[in-house]
Amino acid sequence: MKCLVIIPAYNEEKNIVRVVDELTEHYSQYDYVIINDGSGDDTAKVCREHKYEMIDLPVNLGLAGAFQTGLKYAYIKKYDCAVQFDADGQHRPEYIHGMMEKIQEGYDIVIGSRFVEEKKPKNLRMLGSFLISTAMRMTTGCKIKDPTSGMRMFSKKMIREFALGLNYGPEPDTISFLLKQGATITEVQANMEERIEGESYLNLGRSVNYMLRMLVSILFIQNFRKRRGK
Amino acid sequence: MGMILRLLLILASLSTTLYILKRIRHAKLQIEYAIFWLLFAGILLVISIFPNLMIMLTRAVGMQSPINCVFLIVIFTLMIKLFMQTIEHSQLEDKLKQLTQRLAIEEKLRLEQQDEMKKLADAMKYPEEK
Repeated sequence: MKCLVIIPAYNEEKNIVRVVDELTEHYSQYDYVIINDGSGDDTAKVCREHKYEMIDLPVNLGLAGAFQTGLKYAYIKKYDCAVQFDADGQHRPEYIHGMMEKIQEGYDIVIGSRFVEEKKPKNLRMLGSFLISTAMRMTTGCKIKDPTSGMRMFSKKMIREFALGLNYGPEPDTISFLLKQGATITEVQANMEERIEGESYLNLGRSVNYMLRMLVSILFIQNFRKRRGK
Repeated sequence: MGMILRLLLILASLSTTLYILKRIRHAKLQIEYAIFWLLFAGILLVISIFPNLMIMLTRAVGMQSPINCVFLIVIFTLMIKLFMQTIEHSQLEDKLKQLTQRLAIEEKLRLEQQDEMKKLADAMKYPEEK
């Protein structure tokens, strides 16, 4: 089973070497590709110097567009599964194996979740996660413990659907939509690191905006969508 | 606010919502862009069903008639939206320009490289082959 690790990178010159070197040194059984999302810093240069596998986007597309580029590549190269992997070192490659086992069992999407075995802490940062979780349970009846985890693995069928569809961003609202459409989704415990270098993309304004978008989308819009090719 | 105006507002917000949802259903509109219109239509709907909210707000800001307040809010909201769209539009155009330029330049560089390879291959041939 061939797995592609997709690493969207936006201004990650300080982190990318550490992340990719760990993958190539200890986890060479997985192929990887970096999607440089029009970074303003030297991410592309660093990747070229180290001869990393990279797709260099000439303009910034945002996470959804960058990740979809990776899935299109995975689709063209006929990979059996693909996993979204952060360039800042948050995600740990040792969990990829467990996630692949679930794909082999027949699941469509596997989420690398922080809260399968551990309890979700009750703080402001987790309030968003809690609200999205609740909204998803209300509309789909399924409990996803870590809907905002960025570490998600997709089966071959999902790669095709995500690569070619509109409104298939790697976000909880898409997961909610697919759950409602009968896709099988499961979670695997995956602990995450705190980011070491660089700033988090989320600030208060962006978080509120994101939450509003996700809640309107999950509670309302997703009920009216038609699935691609059906 | 008169009954006819309220009915008009209700009709307008419902048809906006329906149209936006239809576009999403057929994968012709990105969800990010739909959120604004759905919220806008939702607020209009609330205002027209519960005009008392508007009357209270009108008194609070010291305006004469509630309908003026509705117009003011709608105009302000649309102006901000238009302003943001101008900025997005400009960014989009710049991205498109950069993309087109990069594509064209890369094609030119590729052709130049091909030419050079051909010349090199020619130069390496024996004289009698030329």
